[in-house]
Amino acid sequence: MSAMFDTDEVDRTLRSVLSDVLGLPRARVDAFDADTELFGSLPEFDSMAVAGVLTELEERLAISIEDDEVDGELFARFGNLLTFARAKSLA
Amino acid sequence: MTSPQLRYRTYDWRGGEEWLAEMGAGPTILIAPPLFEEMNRCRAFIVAIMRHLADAGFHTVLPDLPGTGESTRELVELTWSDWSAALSSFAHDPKTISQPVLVASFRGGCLLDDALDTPMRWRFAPVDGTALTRDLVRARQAASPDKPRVEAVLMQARESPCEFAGYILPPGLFAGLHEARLADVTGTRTARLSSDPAPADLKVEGRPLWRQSEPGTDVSLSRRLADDIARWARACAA
Repeated sequence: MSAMFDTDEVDRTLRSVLSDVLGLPRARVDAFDADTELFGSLPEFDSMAVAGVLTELEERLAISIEDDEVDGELFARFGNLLTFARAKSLA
Repeated sequence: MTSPQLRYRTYDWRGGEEWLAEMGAGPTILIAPPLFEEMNRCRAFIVAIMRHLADAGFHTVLPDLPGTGESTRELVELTWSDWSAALSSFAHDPKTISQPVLVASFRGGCLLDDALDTPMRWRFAPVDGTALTRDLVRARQAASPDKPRVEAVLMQARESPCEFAGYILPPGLFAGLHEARLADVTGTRTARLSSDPAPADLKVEGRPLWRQSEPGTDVSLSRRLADDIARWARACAA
């Protein structure tokens, strides 16, 4: 059921999730690159937001994220999160 | 035109009083609210929709579910089926409201709308119970320094009352929510945000207000949804 997404759609979906959950302007999130630091660097990215980002990604990408797939590294940089979301949704 | 007023009163349920908010006059639209913290985040948004519907000639009723909002009942006394029962008895009590023409439900409230004997249903961003319990579990994990595993939290919540994002949920409520699925009933119109890839009859631009820590509203989203509810309610009544 994940085949409906291509890599660009995953990128767009991840950016819209971050914009929506963190309450950041879309233009700011669109400027994120692979090295942009997230958790620990963005004050909006607290532990409650981590839960919201995971659940929104699951809903919008029709994926299931297991407990043991989530660690601090995943949210450290935008690139980590994008690689993870692509691997999950395009598998 | 004067702005429609929100009115508060009680309804009876199992020998106790629960609160509801209502607005406008005309055919009744019953609102099944989002659950727990999502309701707090969406309340201003839902009241904005009620205001538009009052202007469009509808009476809207927004009940507090027993154990939430202004309820004097303890949440830990309740089970999932109590919420369906409360909505059902409330909607059928001729002393409370006229027979609703439509139930408009939001997020987790959509899991309760099949309890209501209305001819038609309208849903916004409906979600299965497992998605909501995952949110609750993740919020609990995020708030715990030792980051308990999901399975451990689920097991604990099935055995004894457990706190999730400020709500102490008894096993009978948590387990029922976890297993609740959206009823597949004819005459249901579904609206979703355009960012949500799940199928829907209507896609609208907007942010998921139930995710944002500061409760807010969205003027264009509330107007767009109210217009759609009014059209659907008129089609149902025709």
